[in-house]
Amino acid sequence: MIAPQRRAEIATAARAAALARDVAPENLALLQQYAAAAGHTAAGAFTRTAQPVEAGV
Amino acid sequence: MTNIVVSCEIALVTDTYTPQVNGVTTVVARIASVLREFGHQVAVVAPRYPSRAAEAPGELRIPSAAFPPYPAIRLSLPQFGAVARFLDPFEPELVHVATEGPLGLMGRRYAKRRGIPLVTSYHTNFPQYARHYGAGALEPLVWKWLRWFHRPAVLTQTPGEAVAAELKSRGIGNPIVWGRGVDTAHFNPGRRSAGWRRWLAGGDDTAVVLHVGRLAPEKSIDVLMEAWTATHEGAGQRATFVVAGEGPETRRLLTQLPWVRQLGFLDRGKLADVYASADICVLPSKTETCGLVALEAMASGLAVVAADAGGFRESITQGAAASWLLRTMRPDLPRRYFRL
Repeated sequence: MIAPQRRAEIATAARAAALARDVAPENLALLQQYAAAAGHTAAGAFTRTAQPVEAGV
Repeated sequence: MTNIVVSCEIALVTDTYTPQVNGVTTVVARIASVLREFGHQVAVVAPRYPSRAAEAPGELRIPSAAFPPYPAIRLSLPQFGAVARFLDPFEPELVHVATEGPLGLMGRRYAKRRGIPLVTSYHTNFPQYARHYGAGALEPLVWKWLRWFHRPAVLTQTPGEAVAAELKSRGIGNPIVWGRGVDTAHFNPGRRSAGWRRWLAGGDDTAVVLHVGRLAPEKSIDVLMEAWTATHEGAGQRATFVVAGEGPETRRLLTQLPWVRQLGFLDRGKLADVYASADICVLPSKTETCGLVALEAMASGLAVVAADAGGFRESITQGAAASWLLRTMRPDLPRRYFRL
């Protein structure tokens, strides 16, 4: 068994480390790589407004 | 903010896809989802599996057959005509080939013949796999094949800097890092469930030690088994051992370690629940190119003990409060657990 206090500390530290690698910036990086590969030079060509569309739109 | 509405058409070609569960299917499904979220059009070419005959909109599924040395892997026949008939009306601006298998070859050929920019991915450490399957002598040929395969790509995505550096040193393509990241909204400690814990461990006074991944030789399952055996002997009822995954080593693991609970492959929802309901995640594989599994565990609030190799070196900061990279897992593991 892990002491509850220690378990809580671990969860906090692990979560903080993972948040630094969240998907949101990586999603934009993906779109920017595609834009570069496809030869799109217009800013935002693939990332559009850098905001996802609403589901179903 | 200027609302530049540009919808692009992207073809994704992969030799493994949903409903199969593995790192590549997760990443390809994620790419498709991100593109659609941003308003782009996506066409997917992927194998058809017996468990799922129907095609979703925007998909071409090509019948697959089990790969004899590893029946869980199913490969499609390379049908260029079918791929071209599907993709031509779609007029892709970009073809992204996620795998180096028969369908990947068709995607590569399609992009070359139509003069469309090609992006490839390097997810799987095939040269190391060759060593694990007793075919180390083939390693130079595997590198040669990879060099040829990725040569026409404008970009070859890799999940980390170390892999990108290795590809560069081997003269492969134009490697670029796409780190992928982890869905911290989906994988989060709030999913910890008393029900799962009761089912897995009987209660809160037992540590749940988890391994997530395919049970295959290249994933260092021997190392896991030795580490868990030592830990089990030292911990007794204070720890319970759970595997989320399956593969050719499943039977051997369960025969030799009958006290392990094996859950098989779980869908993303259940997997997130299991992560959050466990305490420690053990990942001995030295062949990971990405190490996303470590990030999922950390996002779920788990301590992570992982091999000091490959993608884990980039997922885990050595010396951080809740994760350890171990060069030698066997002697260290029990001590690490119970200093927690």
